[in-house]
Amino acid sequence: MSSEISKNKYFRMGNPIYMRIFSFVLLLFVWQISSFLIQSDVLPSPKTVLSIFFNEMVNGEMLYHLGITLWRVILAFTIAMLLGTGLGIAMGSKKNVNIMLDGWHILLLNTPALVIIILCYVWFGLNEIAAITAVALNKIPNVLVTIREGTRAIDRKILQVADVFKVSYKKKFISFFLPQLYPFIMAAARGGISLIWKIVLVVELLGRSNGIGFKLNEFFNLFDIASIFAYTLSFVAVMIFVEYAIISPIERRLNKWRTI
Amino acid sequence: MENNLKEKPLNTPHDLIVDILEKSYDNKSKSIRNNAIKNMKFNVPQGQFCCLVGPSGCGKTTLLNLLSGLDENLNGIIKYQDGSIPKDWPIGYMFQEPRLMPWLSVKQNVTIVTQQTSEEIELSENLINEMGLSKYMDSFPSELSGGMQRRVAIARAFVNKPKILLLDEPFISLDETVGNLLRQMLLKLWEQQKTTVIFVTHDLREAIYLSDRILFLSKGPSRIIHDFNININRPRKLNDKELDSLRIELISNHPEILSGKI
Repeated sequence: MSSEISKNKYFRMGNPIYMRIFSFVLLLFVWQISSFLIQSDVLPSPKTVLSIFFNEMVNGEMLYHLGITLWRVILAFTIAMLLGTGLGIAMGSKKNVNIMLDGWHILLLNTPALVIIILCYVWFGLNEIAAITAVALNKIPNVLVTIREGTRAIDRKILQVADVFKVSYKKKFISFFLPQLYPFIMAAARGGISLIWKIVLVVELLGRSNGIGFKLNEFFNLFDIASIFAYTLSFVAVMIFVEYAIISPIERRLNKWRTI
Repeated sequence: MENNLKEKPLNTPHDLIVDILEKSYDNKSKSIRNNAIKNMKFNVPQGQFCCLVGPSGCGKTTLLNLLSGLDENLNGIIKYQDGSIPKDWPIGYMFQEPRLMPWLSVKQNVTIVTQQTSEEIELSENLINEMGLSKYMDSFPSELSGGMQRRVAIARAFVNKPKILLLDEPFISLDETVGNLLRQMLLKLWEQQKTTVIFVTHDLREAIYLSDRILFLSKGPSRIIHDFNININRPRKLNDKELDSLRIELISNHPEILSGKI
């Protein structure tokens, strides 16, 4: 009887780890079946993709391009988060700053990513600065929206505590203001990193001679779909790593007091 | 209708002198100026426990904000006997709500308003122990009851050794038992530190139990309508007949005093 209960618990649908594994296996299975039925280069089998993945990893080619792309992502992400957060706080707390910058912000928010990329390349040349600027400019308006909302939602009563006890301006900002903004910063970061790596690929495709985006374009011209899959897989793996090894632990730490 | 201000002679440097000619503020929704305080004059000797009692909306919170320096926009004087202003010295403030930071532990909530020297951290721990919260040092506010959160707020109010402690109806939403426990705890710390206390309330029973002196305020624009000393020895008992008879006497002499008329 007791073993039956534990067995039920083992396979219970709600168990998150088994559900995840099951869902992943299901995906591989569907992929395998489809590629077997289609029998075409357009949809290579998981096995083909994996073998290319390991080959490219071993010969260092993939790691090189992966590293370049990752570096661009980190750089653009950092710039976009810093500027977006700074502007968001300024616009959320000062009415005049908001009125002044809101028009520019809406303009940038609604300019297609492709237009920004093309203009950056035209104005600054086909170089690294133009590439990073283009990516950051695409992300800043999104960060700004989230942080501005967060700043407007700040509990002034908590800030009053800092005023009454005369804590320094720096400490008031770091210990009384910023912690209230953390959930918004995390939301912006999470949305940011996935958007940024997608835009980085477009930037690389249009004007760089290295990085995943550049390689994807090359494979597209050669109609090498299996390699496209393999390179995509590599970057998705990196992003999953970033999510589970960096973002989630930070979020758990910041939200420790909520989860009681 | 002149009030009976019996001013004591001021002789210690941190006796508080308040002389507000007028305090008004803009009412944005109605685009008019509200007169909150007019011709309010009183002194509080250093170390006195002084209660302000008045009808709701009489500008008590406005007055506390002026005293604390949160609001510096007034026509009048608020200063200590030696000429310094309250803002020049440490101020303790206990708000109507505990106003703890939910992301900090109990201990961090108290130490955060200090410079976090080892002395101050020790004092924080002592105060939390005095409040009977030693087991909850590392708990988050969300794990505590409303009464316990207010005990943390009391500890925080005393941690910077304030020259003046301002309290804005801090025990208003608590049941009587918890409220009385906290009143006793407040008195205990006050007797240790002998800080000047301005305690705002509309509960006359609470005011008589706690204070050396009660200032009654009129409806807005607010002024002092009655200055009443309480000469009952401490420690006082909550169910002391003397407290109750004092209250009944006060009410029968001035039946409308709690609604701001005399």
